[in-house]
Amino acid sequence: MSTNISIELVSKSLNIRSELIKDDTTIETCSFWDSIGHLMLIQNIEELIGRKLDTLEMLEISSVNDVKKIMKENGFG
Amino acid sequence: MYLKVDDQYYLKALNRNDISDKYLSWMNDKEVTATLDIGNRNKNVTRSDLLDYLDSHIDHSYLIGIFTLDGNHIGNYSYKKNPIHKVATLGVVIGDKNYWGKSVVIKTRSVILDWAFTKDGTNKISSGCYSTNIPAILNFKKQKWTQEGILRQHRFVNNKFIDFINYSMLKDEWLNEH
Repeated sequence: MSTNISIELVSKSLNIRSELIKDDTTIETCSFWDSIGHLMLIQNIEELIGRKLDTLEMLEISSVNDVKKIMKENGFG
Repeated sequence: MYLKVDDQYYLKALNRNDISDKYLSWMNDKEVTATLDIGNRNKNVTRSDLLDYLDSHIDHSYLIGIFTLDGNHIGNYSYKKNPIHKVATLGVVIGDKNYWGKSVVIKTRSVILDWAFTKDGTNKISSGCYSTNIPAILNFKKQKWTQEGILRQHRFVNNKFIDFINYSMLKDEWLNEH
């Protein structure tokens, strides 16, 4: 379930279809993962978990798996 | 110095004639300067300030303009090199907001890294950004810069202490990837 939430978050933020996103999709491998999309992703995660990410958490996010981990740590999974 | 980037952009070292009203307007636009590591944000920046800043780029250092192929000046890099240690610091501003979110930094910074490491004899480039500058962080990650450290609560911006993140790229790392 957490994977779905994470993929939906990335899909919504990057404005691409969820079928194109896998757990191992990363910033480096996904050409659609641009700076504005990343900003949206951070904001959408923060909105969902109800708090600001700290610097270390924010810097950890480089892939869908990282989003999944953050969401799980915050009770979404 | 002139560097062709692609069929959209070129880079060139700025001279005093390039210190335009447009460039001045960027540096007095709080939205543009929000993520820049500048001093007093409440001070009005003057043409004289910009000329002094340009003149501070001496001895293997350049203020490099980002231009569209039709000559529209949209941003700058500050490249300051210590020739003894072969280390340069690199900062960037995209002043023309029409070009935000268009991967200008990713496209143009690659050309500067190529030039610095293959033509200018530089061994390491240091850079960094505020922890609040999420687009910049994404660009560093995408370009595989190494995160060297987090300077905790290193800046006081908008009544908040914020972290500063240092990144670097070594010549060997860049050339192995490209």
